[in-house]
Amino acid sequence: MMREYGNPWAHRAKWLYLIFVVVALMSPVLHTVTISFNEHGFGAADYDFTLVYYFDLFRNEEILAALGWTFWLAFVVVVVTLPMGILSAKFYQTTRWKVPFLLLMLAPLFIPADIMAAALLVYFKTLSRFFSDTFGLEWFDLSMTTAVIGQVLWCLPYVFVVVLVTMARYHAEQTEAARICGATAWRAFWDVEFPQIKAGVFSATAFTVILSFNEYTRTNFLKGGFETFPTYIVSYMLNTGMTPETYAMSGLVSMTSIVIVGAVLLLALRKEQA
Amino acid sequence: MSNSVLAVEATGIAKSYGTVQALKPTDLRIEPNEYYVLLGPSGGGKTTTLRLIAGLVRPTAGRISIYGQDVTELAPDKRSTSMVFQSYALFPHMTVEENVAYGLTLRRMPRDEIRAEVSRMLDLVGLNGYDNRRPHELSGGQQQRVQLARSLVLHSDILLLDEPLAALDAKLRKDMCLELKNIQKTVGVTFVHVTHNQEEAMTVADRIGLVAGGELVEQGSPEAIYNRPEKRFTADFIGENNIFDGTATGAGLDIGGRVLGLPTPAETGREISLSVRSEDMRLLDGEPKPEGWQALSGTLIDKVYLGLIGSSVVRLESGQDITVRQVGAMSSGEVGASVTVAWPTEAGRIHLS
Ligand SMILES: Nc1ncnc2c1ncn2[C@@H]1O[C@H](COP(=O)(O)OP(=O)(O)OP(=O)(O)O)[C@@H](O)[C@H]1O
Ligand SMILES: [Mg+2]
Repeated sequence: MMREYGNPWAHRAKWLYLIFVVVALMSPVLHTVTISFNEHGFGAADYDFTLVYYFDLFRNEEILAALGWTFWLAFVVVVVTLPMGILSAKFYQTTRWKVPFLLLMLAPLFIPADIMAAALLVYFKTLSRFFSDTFGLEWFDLSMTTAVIGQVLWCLPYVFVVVLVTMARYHAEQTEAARICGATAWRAFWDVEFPQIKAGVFSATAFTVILSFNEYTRTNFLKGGFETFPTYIVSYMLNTGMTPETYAMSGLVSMTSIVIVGAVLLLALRKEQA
Repeated sequence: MSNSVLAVEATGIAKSYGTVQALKPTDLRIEPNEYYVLLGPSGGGKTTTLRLIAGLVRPTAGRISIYGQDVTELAPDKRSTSMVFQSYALFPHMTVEENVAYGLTLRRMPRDEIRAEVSRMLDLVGLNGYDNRRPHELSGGQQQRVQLARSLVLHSDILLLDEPLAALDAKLRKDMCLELKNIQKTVGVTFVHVTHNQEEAMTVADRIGLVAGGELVEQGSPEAIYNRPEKRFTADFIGENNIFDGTATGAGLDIGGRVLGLPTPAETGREISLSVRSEDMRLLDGEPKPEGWQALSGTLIDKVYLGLIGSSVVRLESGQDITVRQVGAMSSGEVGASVTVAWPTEAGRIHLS
């Protein structure tokens, strides 16, 4: 609307800035990905396109296992975090103590990853000793469960905020109207509110998958009995240095994230235009 | 009518939010098939009353019965009430048809029956052919009709309307008022309608309940409320009345130096008010005061010609402003001229509170 009278250069400057940001963000990644397709690896003068390192990845049992664990972990984290995030967003809307609750929900974002991870590790060690000494139970031994708890703490603030933002646009009268039409509280949520916050829930899911998929510090401290893709890459790099396989692995992680983000953006854009 | 069961019977219902008393303990009795209007100034407690009946809020005291059944503890989906909200209450992700059908779908009614019923309701509210539109593709008035259809299709015992016409322009509001009244007669359901628009209330109501300051101040037919208000507040809120406050002296009212004649005697020494409708007052153009009239002199400070009526404002010597409305004729006096306002003594109405 106002664009028509705006300064055309201001508009172009915005685009330039956007392009700059994207280039600055993406070029290191693209650089790595480019190397991963080069038969001669990093620093070589020649460039011969090959997919051989990717094929190698998918023949490596350890990597496949790590990928499997990564996706399984992401799945469990999504399943646990989403309902918690939606419930907390609902609670936020009704509570009178909005600011304290918000700070509490966002607290995990303010604590550095390694400190949080180390703290959880110590905590779980203590709990684990307590449960095994007292009840002979193996609860809180480092395992999938502890890794999930660490990651849920990390993802919950994001899910909470993303869902809250979409919920804010929802008019509560509609729930009342549904109740009066005869819907139970649950039916009203499912039939009327959920379809309208679906976009937010969907973004939150994608967000959680990416956060979980790329998480290293907490997972590395808290995992037990398995490697995820990021922990595998790091330990591999520490052991053998950067090899063509490492580039392929980085390429794989980046491309997966980009595909997920791209899909979300596309869906969001389609929704906007509809 | 008196021995039949009441559509809504609320005894001592009250609602407080913390220290705010939204509704003080109130009794409300609404007859079956009555068109009852809750009228009053903003913040008076009208919406609160309506939401208490619907079960959207729980009373802090009192009981509510609908057709003899105590519903105080029932959630809104378990009550035989339906409601039209002021705005935003249509489901935006559903079509008009799906919106209207929603309640019936919940009841697991067969599909073709639902479709027939929905189209019958859309017919009734004059929205035939809009089935596949989304709410955002409708005008404000059409959206309210969809809400109306969505409520009517449930065949609830009570239909609650919270300022259903507030978003509409004056002309559309008038049309919708008449339509609402018609529909209410057609379907024979008890309507409880909240508004702060007096004209709207007078148009649709069988009975008006005036709600202000968390209290049901007064109730009665539109005609009674307009012509024979019991409370000073009612006289002040409904119509355009001139009110004199003072002390009763038996047959008169002492308003500080002047004594006005009362239509009926009042207990001496009591603080009372006398109200006179502005259309019952006249400006005397030099003619003598007729027998049995009251008169006060003042200065004409404003004159407005409104087509059918002319409205004049006179400032009395006491400083009080009096509005006089006369059909057709305007006073010949100029603004600033000394004039006399007069009214028949029996046009006055006494308010003890
Ligand atoms: N949820 C709430 N929390 C606190 N106070 C409330 C709440 N709902 C209403 N109130 C207060 O209760 C009083 C009555 O409100 P209500 O909504 O019933 O008024 P109303 O007559 O419908 O007014 P309006 O014509 O403006 O809609 C107001 O003073 C309002 O501030
Ligand atoms: Mg209201």
